Amino acid sequence: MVFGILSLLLLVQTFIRARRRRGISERIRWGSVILVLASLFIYAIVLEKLGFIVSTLLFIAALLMIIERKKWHIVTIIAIISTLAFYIVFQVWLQSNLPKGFWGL
Amino acid sequence: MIKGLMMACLGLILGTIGMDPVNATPRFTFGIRELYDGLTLPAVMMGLFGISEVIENVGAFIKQEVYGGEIKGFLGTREDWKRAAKPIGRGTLTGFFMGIFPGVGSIVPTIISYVVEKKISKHPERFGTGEIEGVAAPEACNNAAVGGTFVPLLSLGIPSNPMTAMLLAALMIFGLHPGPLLIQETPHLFWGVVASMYIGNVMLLVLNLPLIPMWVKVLKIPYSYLYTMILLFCLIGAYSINNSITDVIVMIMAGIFGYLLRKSKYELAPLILAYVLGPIMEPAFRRSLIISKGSFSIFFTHPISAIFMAVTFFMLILPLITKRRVGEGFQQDD
Repeated sequence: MVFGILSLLLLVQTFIRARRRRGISERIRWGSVILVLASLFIYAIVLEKLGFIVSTLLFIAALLMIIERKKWHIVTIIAIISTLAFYIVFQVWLQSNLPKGFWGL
Repeated sequence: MIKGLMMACLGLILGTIGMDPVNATPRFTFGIRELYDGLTLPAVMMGLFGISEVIENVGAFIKQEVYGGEIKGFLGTREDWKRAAKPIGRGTLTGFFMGIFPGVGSIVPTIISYVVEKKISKHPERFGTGEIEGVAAPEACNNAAVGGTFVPLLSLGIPSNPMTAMLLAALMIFGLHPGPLLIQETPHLFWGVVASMYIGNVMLLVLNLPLIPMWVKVLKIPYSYLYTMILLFCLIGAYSINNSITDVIVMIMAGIFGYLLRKSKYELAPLILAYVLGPIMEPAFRRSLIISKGSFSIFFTHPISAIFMAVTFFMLILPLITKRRVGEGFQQDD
């Protein structure tokens, strides 16, 4: 426990120090990073409630729409095609148990 | 070196999450029942290597590079082959034998084989201008090192780089337990992998030479579509290990953690190595201590363990000596 906390502290310290040293030379798109992480967490929370198909559609749409700012019709087409592809590969072909939502999808 | 050891310690700490192997006390679980079995290994690996890589690329401003030029003359001339034959042989041997050691990776053998070629060569001053010996040996070496990493993976279940870690995760998703018993229990899988290497390499040569221009086009798939798919593969993969959301959340957390470590230039390989070995090592360690009634001298007084202790100590000291020598070789010549 104590070791864990200490090493975490050291990690944070090093991280901050490294960033200060690096300065402006390497910029990071923190906005996108946080949005990606947020959508991952939301996907994890929503997955068992909405079911695989609905949440995957929303996940792909959110990533492409909000972060990459693609046009909505491209987003719709890609979201539908890739969700179907994932469903066929994992559920039909590999027979893994993808979660079903409350309306049975 | 110090960062590597730090990562190894962190891996050991992560490995203690879950039930105590000797007296079954839950440790570091914070009352979350799903953590009683420890963090699921494939989920941790996919997070550390997959998710963190995606986050890193999403966060970067750099656009992906597309190779535009044309490639021709894949086969080389007869003269080229004659000159490359021996370096290829030397590189392959160095690469394979160094690749067997977990944690060495493929970069160190590659550098060593380059330095060796430079030392042997009659005209070392031309190295660095596309000399064929200087290209052939390190390339053969790093390919052979990848083959070598399969030895600890399949015989002991020890992953020594991100790629074998992903393979280990894949094997575990299929319900196999990579470890000393893998060859005995599932020989069809083991020999299948061996056969696939032979077939795969021939196929690689036959298929890839004419298709190189096409593979270059694959690189043109926009990253925005690619990473969405990678994330989904990881999410579904993590979910379907135990059909549980906990694994997915563990994976995302590991992803964030891996991203921070990557950004602060920590190597992830020692972490995963220690995380895999920790739960195997701990019960044995505890058992020895119970036998010796809590005295650590058991590790030094018995001949076999004393020899291993000495070897370990030697391995810890060794890089300090060899690294300097390799470094000198580089500085002298360049």
